[in-house]
Amino acid sequence: MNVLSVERLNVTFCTDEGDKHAVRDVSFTLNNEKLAIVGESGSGKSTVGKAILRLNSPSTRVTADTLRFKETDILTCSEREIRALRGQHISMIMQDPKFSLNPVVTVGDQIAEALRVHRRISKRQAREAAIAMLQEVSIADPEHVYGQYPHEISGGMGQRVMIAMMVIPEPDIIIADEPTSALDVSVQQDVLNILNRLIEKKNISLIFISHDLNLVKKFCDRVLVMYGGRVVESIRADELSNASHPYTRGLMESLPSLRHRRETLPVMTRDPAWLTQEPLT
Amino acid sequence: MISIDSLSFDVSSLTRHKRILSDITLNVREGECFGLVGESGSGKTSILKCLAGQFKGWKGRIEVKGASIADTSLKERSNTMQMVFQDPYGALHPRHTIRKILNEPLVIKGLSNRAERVEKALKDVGLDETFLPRYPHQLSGGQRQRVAIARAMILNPSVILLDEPTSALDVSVQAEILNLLASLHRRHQLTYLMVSHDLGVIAHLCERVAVMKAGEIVEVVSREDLVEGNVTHPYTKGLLQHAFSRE
Amino acid sequence: MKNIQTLKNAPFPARERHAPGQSKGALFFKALKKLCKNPLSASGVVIVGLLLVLTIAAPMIATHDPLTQDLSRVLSAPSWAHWFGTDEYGRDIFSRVVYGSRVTLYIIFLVTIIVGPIGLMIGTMSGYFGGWVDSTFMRITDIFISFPSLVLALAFVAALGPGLEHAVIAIALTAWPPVARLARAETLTFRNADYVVAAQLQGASSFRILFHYISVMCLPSLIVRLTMNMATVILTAAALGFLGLGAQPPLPEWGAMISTGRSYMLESWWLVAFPGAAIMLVSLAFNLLGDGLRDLLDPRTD
Repeated sequence: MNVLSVERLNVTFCTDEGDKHAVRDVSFTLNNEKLAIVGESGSGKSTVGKAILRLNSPSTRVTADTLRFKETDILTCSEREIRALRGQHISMIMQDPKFSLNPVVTVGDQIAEALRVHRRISKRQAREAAIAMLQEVSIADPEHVYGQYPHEISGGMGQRVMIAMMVIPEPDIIIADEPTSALDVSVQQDVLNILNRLIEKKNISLIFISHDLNLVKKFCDRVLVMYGGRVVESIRADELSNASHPYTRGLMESLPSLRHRRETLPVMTRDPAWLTQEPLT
Repeated sequence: MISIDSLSFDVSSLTRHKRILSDITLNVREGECFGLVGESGSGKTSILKCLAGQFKGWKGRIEVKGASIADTSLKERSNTMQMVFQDPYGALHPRHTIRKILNEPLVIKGLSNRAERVEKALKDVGLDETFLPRYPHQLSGGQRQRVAIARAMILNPSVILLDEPTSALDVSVQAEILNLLASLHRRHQLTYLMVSHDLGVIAHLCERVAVMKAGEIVEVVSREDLVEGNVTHPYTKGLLQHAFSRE
Repeated sequence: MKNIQTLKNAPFPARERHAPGQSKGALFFKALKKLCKNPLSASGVVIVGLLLVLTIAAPMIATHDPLTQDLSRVLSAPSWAHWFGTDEYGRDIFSRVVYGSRVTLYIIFLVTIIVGPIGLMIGTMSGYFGGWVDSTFMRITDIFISFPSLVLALAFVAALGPGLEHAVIAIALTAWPPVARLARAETLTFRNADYVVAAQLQGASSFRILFHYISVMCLPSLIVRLTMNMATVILTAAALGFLGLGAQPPLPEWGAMISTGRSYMLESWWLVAFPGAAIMLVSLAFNLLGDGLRDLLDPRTD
């Protein structure tokens, strides 16, 4: 049984300047795994993530043959059902914790609140669970951090708090939209390790949206490469180095490398045919 | 070309006192491409801002092409030193056309043959004159960064400060811009001082790199030593190991 | 030149909102069309447009001479001959309201061209230079803001003597501080922008940066603010007119018309109702237009 199945998902932004077809015929299924959606800016990767939670703005038209979480049809279910789905079953980690944490509530209370929305437990129990969760995301002094406000903690710490907040209701799927690109490299690895440990422990499936092929290659099981709103290639992460689609290869090769320095970096020539071909698998 | 001698910079408000840069000393040779690498808050951008005259009240001595920065005005330095910024969206005035953006430095300097110079500068960065009547929001990120580079080049400076010039761009566009910067460096004998958090990008372009941490330079290494792992400071080792593990 | 090739082959050209070749006129009509999408701002546009037509074509629209007295028809109720009735000297109120739009627009126009540049200059200078320039300008602004504007205008007119020009100066005197404040706040958000730093590095003078770089960015919100301000200007002008300190009789000014009509209000309602409605309608229209312009011009709502 797939946790999430998406078939021919199409998203169109309707604006004054005309319609913009941002996602075209995207299909994939998610089992208990770490799936990466990779692409450059404008490829539609974040839009796919938002469409799964129905978070797109009202002027957006979303259609799909299937968009189903377990038994629930995400496209047709009521506003109440989708609210129950968000957070409890599918949650989302955004790029920058500075913008996704409430600045006037202490981080501990925000985690506790995330739990209390979905479970009927007392304030004290929630507090204890939140502190335990802070410990799980490797925060050394959870009691102290519990009472701090978002602006008092660093970016890496903020992203750990976000992870704690998203994991604590024990959802089935976490959608992480560039969760580490606002962080320093040394912190990135810690945050990823924590995320990895938690989702494996709690048996959570992950959709990891990123522009960073190198990172995804190490971290995920399977990769969807998106270009111009389409999936151009679906490939196992450890096979990325032998990818067959020229776009994927181009992305891999255009990165400057420490080990093999080239005087001139290869530059991609984009083929309009990529926009119509069936995805490679 | 650029010599910085015991540069320190403090920011103090009523409640706290913070040291941004402490005792920075470095020399960039003529025609060299010198990198500053470090994490956010390490002070790498602050050095550029001191050079660009955005920070006032620093201590120490900075010389560009033999002239002390403290004794010359920005206007006097504009023929020697220009800057390319990180964010291609914020670096170009949103209500100026590309023509006006490139024309401005020439008008300020009172130079003649403006139309020719503007076209040549655009050609130099791989754009043609059809871009002239457009506004920045009609351009892609990479095209915008090209215009920003053209603007920096149009006064024929000998030094260019690069503040994370590719970190806001997609990898394929990053490759184009890095190639462009490398070819301009070769063709015009420029001196670059580049800031980046990405060791791969720095090592691609720069011959020497200063590794910064908490407002200090912990180590200056050559590209060869960096690639071969010949570094001494544990912090540099950590950064390097991390960069290698990603490839 | 491989790079050039790539750019030309790029399948996604940069999003073109308006083609570069489009003329200013075409852009204006496009903006007007966008403005009219919202029914409220559309009604603002229509009323302000009517006001402009009224002003230009007043002699053709007015049915009578606004100044001619006809003592045989004093205080007659609205009829086919006098659509809005007549006043205590038998002058046609409809024609006076029509001609009154000229006075109103004249005041708005003068106040705006005085207030806009002054507010922009003071605001951008204090925002850009900061330090003592900022402190000095802002304290002066604070002093002006701390007076109730009508009282300040009253004091000013009382000192200079009543008259239309003096009323304009008095209103301008009370209207510039909020504009300067706004321009300063906008400037603060732009003064450290990369493009300003780039201009400084090119050796641009402070005057050049203020004029070519910062003012341009402040203009949209300033235009919105000034449009909204016009409603207040109309009301202040009417209040000064009402108090007898603005336009002097027999000039048809809406506020002054209400003021003189007040004595006959109980038996002849039309003396105050029509100029009052005109004031209300026009100030409402400017507010709606301002709202619409904000949606159109403010980059933050994009």
